[in-house]
Amino acid sequence: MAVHVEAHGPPLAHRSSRVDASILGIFLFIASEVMLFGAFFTAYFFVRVAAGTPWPTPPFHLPVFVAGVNTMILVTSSFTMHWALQSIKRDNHAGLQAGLLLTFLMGLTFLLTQILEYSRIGFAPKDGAFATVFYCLTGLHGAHVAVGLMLLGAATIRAFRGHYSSEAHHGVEIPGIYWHFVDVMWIVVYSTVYIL
Amino acid sequence: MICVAIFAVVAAVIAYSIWKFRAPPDDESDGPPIHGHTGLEITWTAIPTALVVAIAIVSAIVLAKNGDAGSNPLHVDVTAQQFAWSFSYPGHANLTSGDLRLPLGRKVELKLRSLDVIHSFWVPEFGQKQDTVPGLTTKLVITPDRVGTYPVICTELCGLGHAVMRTSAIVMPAAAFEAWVNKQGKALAGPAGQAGKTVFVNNGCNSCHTLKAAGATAKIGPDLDKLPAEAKGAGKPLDAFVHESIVNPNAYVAPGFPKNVMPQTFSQLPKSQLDALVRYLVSSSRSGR
Amino acid sequence: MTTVTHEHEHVDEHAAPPAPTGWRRLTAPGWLRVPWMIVVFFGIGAGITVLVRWLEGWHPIWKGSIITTVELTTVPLGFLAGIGTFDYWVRYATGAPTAPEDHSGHGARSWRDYFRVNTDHKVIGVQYLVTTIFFFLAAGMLAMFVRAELAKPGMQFFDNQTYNGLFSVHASLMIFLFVIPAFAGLANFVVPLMLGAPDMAFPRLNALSYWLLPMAGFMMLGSFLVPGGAFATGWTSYAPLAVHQPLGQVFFNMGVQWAGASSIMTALNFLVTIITMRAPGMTFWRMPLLVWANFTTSLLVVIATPFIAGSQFFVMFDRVMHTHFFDPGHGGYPLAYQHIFWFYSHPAVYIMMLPGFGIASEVISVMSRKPIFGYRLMALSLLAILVLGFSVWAHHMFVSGMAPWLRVPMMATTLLIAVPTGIKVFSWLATMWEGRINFSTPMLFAVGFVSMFVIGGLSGIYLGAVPIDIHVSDTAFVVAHIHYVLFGGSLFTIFAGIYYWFPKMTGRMYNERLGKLHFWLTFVGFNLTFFPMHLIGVQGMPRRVADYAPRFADWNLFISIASFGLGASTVVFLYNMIWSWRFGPPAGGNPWRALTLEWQVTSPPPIFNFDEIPQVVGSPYEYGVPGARHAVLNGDRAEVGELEEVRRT
Ligand code: HEA
Ligand code: HEA
Ligand code: HEC
Ligand code: CUA
Ligand SMILES: [Cu+2]
Repeated sequence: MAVHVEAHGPPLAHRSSRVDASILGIFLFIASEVMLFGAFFTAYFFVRVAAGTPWPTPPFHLPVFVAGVNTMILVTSSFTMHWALQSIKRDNHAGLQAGLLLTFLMGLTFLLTQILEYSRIGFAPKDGAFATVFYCLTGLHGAHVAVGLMLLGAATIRAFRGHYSSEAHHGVEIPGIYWHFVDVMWIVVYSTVYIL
Repeated sequence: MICVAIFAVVAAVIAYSIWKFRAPPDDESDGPPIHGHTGLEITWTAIPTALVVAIAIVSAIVLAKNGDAGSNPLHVDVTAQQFAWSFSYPGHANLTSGDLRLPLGRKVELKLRSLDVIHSFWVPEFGQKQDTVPGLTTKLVITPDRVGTYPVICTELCGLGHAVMRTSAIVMPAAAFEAWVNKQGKALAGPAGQAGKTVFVNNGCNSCHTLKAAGATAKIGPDLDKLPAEAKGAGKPLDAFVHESIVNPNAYVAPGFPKNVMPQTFSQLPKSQLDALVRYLVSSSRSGR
Repeated sequence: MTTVTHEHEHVDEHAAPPAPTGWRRLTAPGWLRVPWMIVVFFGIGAGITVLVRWLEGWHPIWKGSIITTVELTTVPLGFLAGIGTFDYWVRYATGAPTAPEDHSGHGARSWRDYFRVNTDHKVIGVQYLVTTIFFFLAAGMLAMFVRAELAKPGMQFFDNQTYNGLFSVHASLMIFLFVIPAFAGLANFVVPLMLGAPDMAFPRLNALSYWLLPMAGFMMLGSFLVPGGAFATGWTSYAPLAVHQPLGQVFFNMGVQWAGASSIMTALNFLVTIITMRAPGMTFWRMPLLVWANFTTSLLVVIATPFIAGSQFFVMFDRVMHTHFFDPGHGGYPLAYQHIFWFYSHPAVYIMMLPGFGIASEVISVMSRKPIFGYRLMALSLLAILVLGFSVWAHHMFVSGMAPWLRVPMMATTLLIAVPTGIKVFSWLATMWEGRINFSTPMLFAVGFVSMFVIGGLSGIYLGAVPIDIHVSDTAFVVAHIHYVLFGGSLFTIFAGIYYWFPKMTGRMYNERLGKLHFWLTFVGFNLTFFPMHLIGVQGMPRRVADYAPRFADWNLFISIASFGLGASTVVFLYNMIWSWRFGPPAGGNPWRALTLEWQVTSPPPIFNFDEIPQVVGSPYEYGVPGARHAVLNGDRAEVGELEEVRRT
């Protein structure tokens, strides 16, 4: 079987698009994530609009203010993420490391606050459809934050081991794109679940 | 019709091509390089478009007609649960029945409800079908126009008893329908044995159980002619056992039969009917031996 | 996630690294690492569950149904970790310098290479096909049981719940483990070759998507073994029923998640490959229609599949966490399930058909020795089906009690889909017209597909017309529709594809006489089996019932006997495939004299497909055009002017 080919390995694939493969990949992945949130929002729609469940169902309350502060934390972390990426584009390793670390810590704060909120909120997923949708939407988002943190964690570790440079920074850019998506999604969740 | 014609056209072209354009085994030549033909392409876009628009319009009109209940329909409330139907007639003192009896020629508006999962009400001869959804009330209009007995079939998979969730729709002349309504009313108010039997049949117990006295022969649940033995097995007096088995079927599950099949809603029967039912089962199973 | 193409410096080290010895064999990726990894992950899953229940004070702390649900997530992860799909990423995440690509995970040198994590799209394609055919046989076996039970009214072999389990697992395996991944497998093998690419964009992701499949399949099959029996709510698994079913139900919920994850990853991979890795000169309007078909299918998958994931999560949460998505007594809304489910599952039927359209286009053009008729309209109609497909989901809910005003608009869009589909059918016919048709087995299946699919599509039009659907919904008429589109449509094209590319995959030719025998047995058996279902459906035979009225007894007996014949025809296919793979005559590079790129290399293709990326200079279907070329390969340089400006699309 075609032994001579093995002697010189794969030919370089032709790049038929200006878009980088990994960047396109993460955007498509995000598209499908958006649809997953879409399915959850459809459930939200049916429970709140079609079935007319009161929102929030008395006697429960939503901690709008605390969650608002939490929102600010998450939004800020998007900016530090951006800063990290800009830094490495200029080969500023200290900026990259600080940016990633800050982002990671803020994300972690967000997640812990969310868990704390669950434990203090006074109702459980089984207490009616309102509670169900509340937990599932915020929980789904929480799971995404957790995944985002894992990606950021890997990027941070590698950043501290000096892996990135102004030429090679996909490993920062891709978690970054994902992180921005997680932030934007939170704003949607926050405004539909807590505020509206 | 249209569809048959379309398939005929397609099949004809295929058959013709197979016969006409078959290449001889060693023919290595190519066909003529036809890349397309705009006129043809427009034609076979336009004609199907016109056809489907026509089908859509006709269907929409038929649909609107079918949904029209007229000015004086008979109202029937349909209740579905795993795995039994029951029908009640709000115009006739909420008389309840395990089969659907309808007077000939009058439009009927069914209001359908479900107590547990989704079921679907279908009488093939009426050509109408509607799901029953827990939490919603759905509607269906039918016009019984021929006397006869037709099957009522549950057509939405609703669990292990789905295939047997059947009863009958009986279309009777208007006078016979009135007579039936009156008789049912009297029977419920009448002597205990008769009332018990009416409750038994009207609630669809006969669609799952065997009971000689009521002419029931179904085999989804235990044979109720053997109740005395069963009560002994459970170590309870017969009447208490029967009562409990009806209001709380899972308290004692007959060996060899699945839990959660017998509906748990009979505990909501009016007390008088429940008592009549229990007495009826006790006496008929004792004598049935 | 780097592509193979980036690691160019280390191309010389192709030999696999020395095989690990001693204890190291237990820690190296492979089948020896699988068992203990599964145990470890089982422990993790059980541990977390017990810990949470203990912390929250829920009793009992050890609850079988909950543990099972959790383990259906963690045990597969253990398997994947053991077999080695994650090694690269774990090393990456911990910051270790990524090992230089030695291509040891690439290509097959012996049959053993098919049983480990392999990143070669050709190996993965074959892995996909063999696995999916296995599940096809399993699902077909279950269908045989279904027909045995239905041969007579009354109950013969199975009780009601088991019967419901049989057709539920039958349909779920056929759809999620056969049709969808079999198309993905064929495309895996063919698409990169057709594009002139050395591999898929993300080979490691590609391997991972394959290894998710066997787990999903065995999960569904395995549900027969759990207490309470297999999941028994049909492949649609409607809530609220599914919430109250025995434990087997979660095997469906989770099986669908794994299979869905696999198909999303594959789709993503296809999209990126098609967009970024086409050979120079391969503009969108020069791509073979199979590539177009997989492009649109992948878009459907990426957009729609998360919805079924959502619907299954909701059912699972309702079961495990006692949430109330579908419980009207607590503010839930039962119909939400159907809307969400069908928003995926209608597009899913096109996911199960569009790749088949692509295969049919390839086969019909080549075997008729003519260019595809109306190439651009063929591609555009795929896109039209893609868009329309998202606007018709409620045609499965005409009798569901949903808002009545939705019916007429959904009927209109449903019927409109006939237009782009019709364009394709008529174009295939026009392609055959005046051709020099070679009725080899793939062509027979392709033509069989066109005729049978038209019957299935037209019965779909009946179903799309609301007043008719109200009568025949949930009857054997729908079962007939399902099988005419899925068997007569998808399965016929899969067979066409397998026969057509068999010489390319194995380097050997299948036995033509057995192939033709297989076709005719299947074609006749199929029609005898499924056509009568139209009739009994209209007369009042419901679907999904083990028992039925005696007046349908004769037809059902007839159908059952025919179906056993249909099942037997599969044996011919299996024998042909296995025998020819081992002993078939060598096929040569291009037995069909086709123009598309995969036929321009040896059979089976070299490990990296092309020695040099080909230059595409024309349409892939220029049969009969004197001197026309699709591509120029290997240094024989194009004449001046033949290579046009290569545009980036
Ligand atoms: C490969 C899979 C596949 C495909 C391609 C289709 C294609 C179509 N399907 Fe089908 N369908 C299923 C798989 C598929 N379906 C399955 C699995 C179910 C059951 C789900 C369950 O379990 O409940 C189902 C159920 C189903 C229903 C619900 C029935 C019910 O439960 O009550 C409906 C209703 O509208 C429907 C309609 C259609 C239509 C209009 C098309 C159209 O796309 C068909 C278009 C094709 C043609 C029309 C033929 C070619 C065209 C011409 C030759 C042009 C001329 C034609 C005209 C002018 C009319 N399908
Ligand atoms: C691609 C999809 C696909 C395919 C190919 C098939 C193939 C077949 N199907 Fe199925 N079917 C569905 C998809 C499919 N089906 C779906 C979606 C449903 C709806 C389910 C629901 O209601 O939820 C359904 C439902 C369904 C029903 C209705 C059940 C009911 O509603 O009560 C029936 C009944 O006859 C049936 C029969 C068959 C038969 C006889 C075949 C035959 O074509 C099968 C032929 C058999 C084989 C190919 C196997 C042969 C195997 C051997 C000979 C053994 C050799 C083995 C070894 C060597 C190990 N199917
Ligand atoms: C959908 C089927 C179904 C219907 C309708 C039904 N039953 Fe049952 N019944 C069962 C099954 C199954 C059992 C056995 C399992 C159990 O005990 O829960 C049972 C058990 C019983 C028993 C206990 C018998 C024994 O031997 O243990 C009694 C009494 C009974 N049913 C009476 C009734 C009456 C009265 C009605 C109508 C008001 C009725 N059933 C309606 C299915 C049904
Ligand atoms: Cu009730 Cu099926
Ligand atoms: Cu559909």
